[in-house]
This record gives sequence, structure tokens and C-alpha cells, in this order.
Amino acid sequence: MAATDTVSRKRRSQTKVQLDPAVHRRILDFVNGAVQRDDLVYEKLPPPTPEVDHRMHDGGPDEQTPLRRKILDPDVATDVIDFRDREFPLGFRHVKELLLLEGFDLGNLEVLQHHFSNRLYGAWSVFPQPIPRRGPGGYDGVVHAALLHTGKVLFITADETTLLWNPDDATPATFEDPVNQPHLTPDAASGYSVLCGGHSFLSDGRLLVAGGGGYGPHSKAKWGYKFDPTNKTWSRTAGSMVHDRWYPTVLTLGDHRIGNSHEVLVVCGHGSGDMEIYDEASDTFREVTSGHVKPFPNLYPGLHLLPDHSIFYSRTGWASAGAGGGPFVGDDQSAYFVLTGASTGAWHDIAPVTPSMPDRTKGMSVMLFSNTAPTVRIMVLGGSDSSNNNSYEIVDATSLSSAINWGASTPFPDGERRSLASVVLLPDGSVFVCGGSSRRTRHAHCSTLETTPGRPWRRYRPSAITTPWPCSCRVGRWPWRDGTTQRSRSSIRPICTAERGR
Amino acid sequence: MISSAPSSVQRGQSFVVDSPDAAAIKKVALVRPMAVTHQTDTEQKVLELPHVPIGFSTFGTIATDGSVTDRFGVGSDFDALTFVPGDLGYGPNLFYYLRHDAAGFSTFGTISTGGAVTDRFGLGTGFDALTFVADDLGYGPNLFYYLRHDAAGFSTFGTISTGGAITDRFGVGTNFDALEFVPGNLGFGPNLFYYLRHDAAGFSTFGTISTSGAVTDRFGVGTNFDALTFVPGNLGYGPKLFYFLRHDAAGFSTFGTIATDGTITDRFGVGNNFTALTFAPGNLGYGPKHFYYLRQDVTGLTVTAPDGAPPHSLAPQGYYMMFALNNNGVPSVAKWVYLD
Repeated sequence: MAATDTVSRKRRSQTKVQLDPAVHRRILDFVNGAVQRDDLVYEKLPPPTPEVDHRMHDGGPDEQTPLRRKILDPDVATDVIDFRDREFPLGFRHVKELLLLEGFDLGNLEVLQHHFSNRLYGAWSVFPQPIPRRGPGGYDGVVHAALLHTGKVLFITADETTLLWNPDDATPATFEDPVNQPHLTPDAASGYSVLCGGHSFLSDGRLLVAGGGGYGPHSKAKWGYKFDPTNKTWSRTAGSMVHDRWYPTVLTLGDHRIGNSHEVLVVCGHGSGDMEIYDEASDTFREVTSGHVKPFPNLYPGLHLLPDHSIFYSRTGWASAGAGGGPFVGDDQSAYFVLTGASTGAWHDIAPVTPSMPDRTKGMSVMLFSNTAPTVRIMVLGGSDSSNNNSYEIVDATSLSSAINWGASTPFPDGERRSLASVVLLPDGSVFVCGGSSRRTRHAHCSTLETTPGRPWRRYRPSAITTPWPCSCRVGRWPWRDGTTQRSRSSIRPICTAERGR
Repeated sequence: MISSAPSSVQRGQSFVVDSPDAAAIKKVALVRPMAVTHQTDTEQKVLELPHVPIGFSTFGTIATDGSVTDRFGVGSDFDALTFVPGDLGYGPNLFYYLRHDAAGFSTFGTISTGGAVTDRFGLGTGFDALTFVADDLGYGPNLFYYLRHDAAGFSTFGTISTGGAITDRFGVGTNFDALEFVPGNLGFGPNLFYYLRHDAAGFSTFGTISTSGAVTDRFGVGTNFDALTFVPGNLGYGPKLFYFLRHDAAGFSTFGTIATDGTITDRFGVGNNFTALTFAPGNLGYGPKHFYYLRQDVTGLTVTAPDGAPPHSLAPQGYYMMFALNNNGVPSVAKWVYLD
């Protein structure tokens, strides 16, 4: 009997199993992470978070029990855990080891393959053309990216030039040089570039880049540069800002705020929190004259224009530039700014800062809309504090007052620690989180959208965007210095979502 | 999934999105294109747009042996159908319909047996069911009787004169779907209207409405009953039967009978998305003793652009991607839309 069993196991161990490495890793993580039978019988769901899923407050007990997909048969699940603990106490290293178990056959493996397939989780692929380097700067790669209404993506590159990319063209012609590059204009001489400026789309689809200066503050970074997607041409604004700005946050204001106005708010940079407003009609900037008293130690402070036209500060931002960890002297006081006149406004604090509140410096924030209450929420994710940057918080910003406060800090579903992660809203309202660096995990990555093996994630200044292409969305990402562009296609919403809209 | 959409829309404007998969679209989202400075774009927006399906209706016949034949297309979003052999001022042997526009406004009109479709007059919003009574039931002779609903689903019973006078008579309750008149006594009394209504779970109940407004549930019939008509003669299934259309979760419609004792019998499947049913005993060119139906194919969506009042902070003027998403949340290829 023992001999037969040995022969059978040997034969099964010789079964050829070839899996995509990412799928293989997901299966092993799932099987090795199981503590009890039901961990293998049902898919793993994040813990309930009432402050996130407000539907939990509305319905009865049935609504509070999300449907979990069934994966393995209970008897098989029990056998797998017993077998693992007995024969592989450190965990399976390859799915072939699972097949040594008599009660686990190729059919069970197919079930696992299905549940952890790239079709469900999405997958990254490397774009075949390297990003060309042809500017004065000393680095390769991309720092900023903007999706234009022509379908092309405008890069502001690490070599301090700009570049157009057609994601649907895999030939070398995919890259194109815009006309009248900002770094070549006379006033931008002496090394000035639009690198590290702030961006927003104007009402006619042009992209405004305010400030910049390259790899450090630059006295000439007082201008705005506009990119026309149709003519592929850069032009400088007629007027300059009063202050040069490096890492400013730029927000399009609601149009017709004053008469037929189309305005863009420029905040901070490396200055002291002051604001200027760009007016599309005159192509000039004017200073906000009162009320902009928040000093913003953070570069790129996390600001959102709410539907009621106030501007919400989410307490995220860059602190100083660079990918390093904290602690940082930041401004953890969440607040909102109300424009009270053409060039005046006032800050109002919300949510008093407490010692237990996570430091969200080098975290990200996004605004979530719903057609049902709460209609406006702000979500902050990650940060530089490795003790709590594996979490996110949400505040209901539907009706602003000093009484509103952040919900409880909730761990990410995949448990990753993320500083300077990329956060993308997907068309179904989900929040897609990928990448990010942390002091604890050098190359943290989304557990569901892995990188190409051997190719590290860029830790600082990656860009991820939602694009209009087939079968859902692709999310592009451009690693640091290795000169490649990665893109992903996910036909089903990625599991690595921390929140789903309604 | 989106075959056509306007390239530019005004704020608050309703516009049409065509799609061969329109029936499967559960969500339409407007997404602001990203401009990422380092990792972040704090201006990201995903706005779910209100939308209603657009249905193209087809008129056809059902023979008593179960043969179903499309005859001609009639237009968008037809809800109710009834046949009147006499001339009410529009001609003899006409079908009378209710249809609605994207805002829910209903129009009354006629369909000739040759396929001529003519709007006669507007009615108001939320008209669901229609039947005709030549006799005077206390409101006058030669009147159409309707059921219409308000925003909360509460239904009202009323009359339509042939000249277009609309008169609410009394409220009947929530979620009434179909209406038929029977002059004879079927065991519940003479001169009664018979209805189908549904509850929140889609379960339908058969009942009666007296001319004075007494509403009485008689018995439950099952889920998702859409249409009701009565035939006094025997068409092979027995005399004095109500005939119904009901649909399953996939939208497939079944034709069947309701006996006055509450016996419900499915007879045969007819196809997808049948919405209205009436009967004509004479030969209207398609043969005698045929049922006539309206069925509806979803061909697109009427979508409403966001943010009607300044300052337009929810969605500033500019270019957006518009995605259509199916039941599984899988998005289509986006169309670029300029919000003006």
C-alpha cells in the first residue's frame, strides 16, 4: 500500500504544470495563508468597514453579508491544510507540491487558476518601445502624464522635455515631439523646464502647466505653459505669476463663477501657501489677496474642488520633494477654503488633529461621488509613516462644517504599505491603488497587478492613468530610469481596490 | 458598446447614446481625463450619469396556435395597446396606443392595420395602461380608461375622451400595470375593470376596479406580469379567459391564460420584451382571432449631462470620457464628450 502510494505521488509530482508566475504566486499566497478550512472554501474579503460602505447603515442583516465566491470543496480544503501543515510546514513552494496530495487533482488546480487568473486580477505588460531620451536632463523616463482628448498622452519627461505618446501604436512612431517645447523658449533658457509644475485642463481641452523649474526651484518658473492637443504646440501664458512655483497644486475652478469666467487656482509650491488665479480670457494670473493664510509645508498639497465650490485640503502632500520617509513637518489640519469674492477667500478647519491620527504626508487623496447620500467623500490613502501607511480613511464632505471628521483608519485589502502610491479612479467608481514605496518594503507593489518579474517598480513619481481603450481601462505606469512603459488591461475590476463607488 | 454619442453636450441636457448592447448597460459614467503630476491627480472625477433606456417597439400578431409574427415597427417606447373596431373619429378598426418620451411624457395615438402610426394628443406623465368602453359607465360613452402613476408609483384611474380630454377619476394604489374591461359578470360582478399590479418583489396580483372606485385584489398570479386582455369566446383554451404576457429575469415573455377561478396557465413562449397585448376577433388582414402585441428592443439610452447651474464645480467645462458599464462593471471603450 505504501509502495503504491509512493508511486502515485511520484507520478503526480511529475505532472507538468505551467502557470503564469503572477497566477502561481496568488495561488500559493492563498493556500499558504489559510488558517482554517473556510479560508480555502470561500474567497477572502476585507473586514467590514461601516464608515466606508454606507449601505451597511441602510439595510438589514442580509445586506451586511456580502456574497463570497466559493472556491474549494470543504473536504478538499481540510485535506490541503492538513497536508501542508504536515509535509510543508513552511508552506508550499510550487503548486506541484499540492498535487502530491491524493485528494487534490488537476480539476482543483483549474478552479484555483480560474479564481486567481489575470482575467480577474488584470495584468501588466511592457510597452515594446523604450521612452526616448533626447533632452538636456540627465535622466530617462517620465515624470508627468496627461491624457489628451485626442487619445494621446503628453509626457513631461525626466530629461526635462515633453513628449507625445500614442498608446495604440506600438511602433517607434508612437512617440512624437511637440512643437515649441517650453525648455527651448527664450525666457526659459538656463535650464528651466515645466518639470515639477502643476497641471489642469482648460475649458477648451488645452493643458495648463503652471510653474515647474526642473529638479529644484527656479526663479523663472513663474509662467504657465499651455499645450494644444490638436496642434501639438506649446505656448506660454501672456502673463506670469507673481511667485515662481515648484510642486504647486493646480485646480480648475467651476466655470462661470464670476460672469463667464474660466479660472484655474494655483496653490503653494515651495512658497508659503499663497494662491494665484489664472484667468483663461485674459491669459493672465492674479493674486488671491486675502484669506490664503494656510502655510502648507507640504509641496503638492492635496486639494479638491467640491461641488459646492469650496476647496478641500485632505492633509496629504509631498512634504519636501524626494522619495524618502518621514517623519515630516506637515500640516495635518484638514480644512476647506471658501472663495468669498473674485480674489478673496477664507480657510475653515475641520476634524481636529489628534495624536492617533495617521500622518498622511506622501499619501494620496481622491474625491468620490455618489448619486445617493453621502454624495461627496474624500478618501486619503497611505503615507510616509510605516506604522500606519497600509491604511486609508474617508470623510463625508457632502455638507462641510467644523463637525465633520475622518472615519476610522482601515487597512488596505492587500495589507501593503504605500507611500507615494498611484491612485486611479476606475470608471465603475472603484479606487485602484498601485505601487508606492515604503521604508519597510522597498518595492511595494499592488498584490494583484504585479510587475514584470525582475523589473522593479519605480518608487517615486510614477504615473498611472485611466484610458478609454477596449475592454475596460488600461493603466499605464512608467518605471524610473529603466526606460520602459508598462500598461495594463483589466477586463474585470481589479481586486486590489480599496473602495467601490456606487 | 457605445456605437454613437454626441461629441458635445450642454449641461443638464439629455442626449441619446446608441448601443447594440444597450439592454445590458447598467451604468454610464463621465470620467475626467487624468493629468498626473508625479503620482497624483486630485481632479479625478467619476460621475455617474442618470440614464433611461430607449425602446424601439414592434407591432405583431400571436395566433392561437402560438405562431408569433412581427408585422411592422411603430417607434420608440410604446406602453399600451387596445383595439376598437368602431370609428371614434379617427377611422374604423384602429389600434390605440400609449407611448412615452425620455421625460416620461405620454402620448395617445392610433395604429392602422396597415402600419400607419399617428400621434393624436399628449396626455401627461406616467400613463401605463389603456382600455376602451363604448357604453356609458357613469362618465360618458365611448371613453378610454387609463391607469397612470406618479413619481412614487401611486396609480390613478381616469378617462380619456376621443377629443383628448383627460380626467383623473380616483386613486387605486401602487404599481398598477394593466387594465381590461369586461361588461359581463365573471363571478365578481358586472361592468368591472380588471387589473394587474405588482409589489416591490415583482409579484403580480389580479383584481377588480368597480366604476365607483372600489379596488379589490382577487388573487396572486406570479411574478412579472406585464399585459392583460380578455376574450369571451373559446380560442381552444376555454371560454371567458384572460390572456396575459409575463417575462422572466432574462426578459423572455410567455403567453398564458388566467381563469376566473385563479388558475394560471402558461401556454407558450413568445420572445423577448413583450409589453402590450390586445385581441381582435375579426380578420384585420392577418387572419381572424389574433392577439396583437407590442414588444420592445432596447436600442440606446437617454443620458442626462451633469451640473445645470453655475458655478459648474461638479464638472467644469471641458472634455470627458464617457463609459458605459455592464452588470459586471466591465466598461466599454469610452467616447470623448465635450461638456459645454
